[in-house]
Amino acid sequence: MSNRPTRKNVITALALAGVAVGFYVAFFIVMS
Amino acid sequence: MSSAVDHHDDHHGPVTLKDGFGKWIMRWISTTNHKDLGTLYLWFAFIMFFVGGAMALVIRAELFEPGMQFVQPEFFNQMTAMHALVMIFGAVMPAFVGLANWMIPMMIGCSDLALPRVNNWGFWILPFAFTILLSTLFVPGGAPAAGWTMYPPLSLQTSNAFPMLIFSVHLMGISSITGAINVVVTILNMRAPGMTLLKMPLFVWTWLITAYLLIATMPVLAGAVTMLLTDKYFGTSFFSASGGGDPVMFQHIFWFFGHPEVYILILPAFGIVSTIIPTFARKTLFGYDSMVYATASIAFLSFIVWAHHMFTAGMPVAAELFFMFSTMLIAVPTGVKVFNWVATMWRGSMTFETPMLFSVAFVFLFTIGGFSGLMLAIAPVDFQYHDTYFVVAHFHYVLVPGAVFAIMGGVYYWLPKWTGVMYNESLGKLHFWLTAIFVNVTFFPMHFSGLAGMPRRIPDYAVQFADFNLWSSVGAFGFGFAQLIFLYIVIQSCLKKGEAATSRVWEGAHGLEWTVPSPAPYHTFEEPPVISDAEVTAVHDDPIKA
Repeated sequence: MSNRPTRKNVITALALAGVAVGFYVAFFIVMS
Repeated sequence: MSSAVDHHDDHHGPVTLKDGFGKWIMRWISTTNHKDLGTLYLWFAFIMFFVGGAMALVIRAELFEPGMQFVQPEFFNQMTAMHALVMIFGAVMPAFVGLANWMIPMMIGCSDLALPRVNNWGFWILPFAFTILLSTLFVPGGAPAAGWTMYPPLSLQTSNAFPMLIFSVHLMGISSITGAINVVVTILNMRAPGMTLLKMPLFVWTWLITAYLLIATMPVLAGAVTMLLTDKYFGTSFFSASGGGDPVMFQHIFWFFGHPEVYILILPAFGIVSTIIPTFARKTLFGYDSMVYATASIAFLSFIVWAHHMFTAGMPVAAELFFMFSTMLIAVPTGVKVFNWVATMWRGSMTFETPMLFSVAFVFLFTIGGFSGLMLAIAPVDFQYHDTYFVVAHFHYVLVPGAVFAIMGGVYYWLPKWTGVMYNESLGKLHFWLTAIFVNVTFFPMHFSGLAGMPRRIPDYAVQFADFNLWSSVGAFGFGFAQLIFLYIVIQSCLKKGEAATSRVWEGAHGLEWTVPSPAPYHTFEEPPVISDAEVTAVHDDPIKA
């Protein structure tokens, strides 16, 4: 079993991480 | 039926103590195996459960009788704040992530989580986060004492512990987000062929929805605490009225995270109970589809109810009405779930092994917590209840006989699959009955002391509350010591002391996880299993449609 994730999984994960980071950044922009 | 791929671990199996202590330690530090990480998460949660429990006992010892007995008021406040932080972020959430690690890949027929190394990283952040948090007990000024909600301006008076608190909360958030991303990617991309979304076990569904909640709300918490940090050290005035900011804004932001967080703590519990009840009722889960939609509805509603936590902070009447009615609306999908569990048990061939006892108690006692929640949702009534022990009774009913009972039921249910041996059923039942009795002795009197006006987070109280508090303290110590039985049972199982478990373990159990041997091999489903509808949907085909 390889630890290396598939390209599809990496892309999905990055998209979700982008949503999380996006919320964080957008939050500061709104509050500032 | 599906074929579990059983690698006999002779070439890349787990390192054991026989291979040397150093190698064994390195196995746990560097592991990317979902079962190893599930075990680590569960043991971490168990340790934190006892740490947080010890803090609860300090609180209950002080409140055993009126007057100041054991601790200074400042330390009492530190205990209330730390107990909540440890139990929420250190015990309940990691326990659910541990169960997800162990069970989701086996339930949907994949070999591991999608991002194994991220999974390792997500876990190993936690011991550092909680070392930082717990070490604040030893810094000058003591640990954070402004409650887990960290409301400014009070929390900004925290001394040296403050940056440590903020950093540890960030680390917990990163761990939660990485875990959530892993769960979503795994469920969306790695289900075995034929495992369609509406064939997934309810535990998988509830975790999928929980993971979305985590991704959406954890950044909000991170943002809120970052703003606290900049307010304290970098001259900003986000929450300082003197600088043009608004301290009530923090409460809005915090609870925009905090209320979905409440559902993060309970939705996986719904999934566990929905898995256990059909097994021991020997029936299909009543209303599978409606369970999924109810879970999604609860998740959606959790984003539009946050201000019911702050009715007394002041807001327009229209806003109070909106948040009151939106909160009450949550009773509808929650009621759907409770009725579905009852309907699943109706005319079932029920037996009451320990997991079922915890699940039935969950349905009964969680519903009590739900009803007191409805009472709190009524804005004018909340003005009396707010910040009293009635609130403490409410949220402990949904979190202890709610979330914690589901975790304990889940551990008993899956422990034979993890360890390969049956736990001691008599001891399990003893653990259940002591826990169920003492949890009520602890928390039920709090309804009365709260209704009579006893404020929460205060180390002393008027003499008219003495009897209720005496009962709560006796119950808390009984509850705490009963958990040592649980610890003993789990250790015995880990030491393989008990009868060998069969693959299916429970007569009425269905699902892919029961098609692999017990204990589950280190690697399972490296080749996707063939999905048998009889196996996969046996637990949740709607009898009305059938």
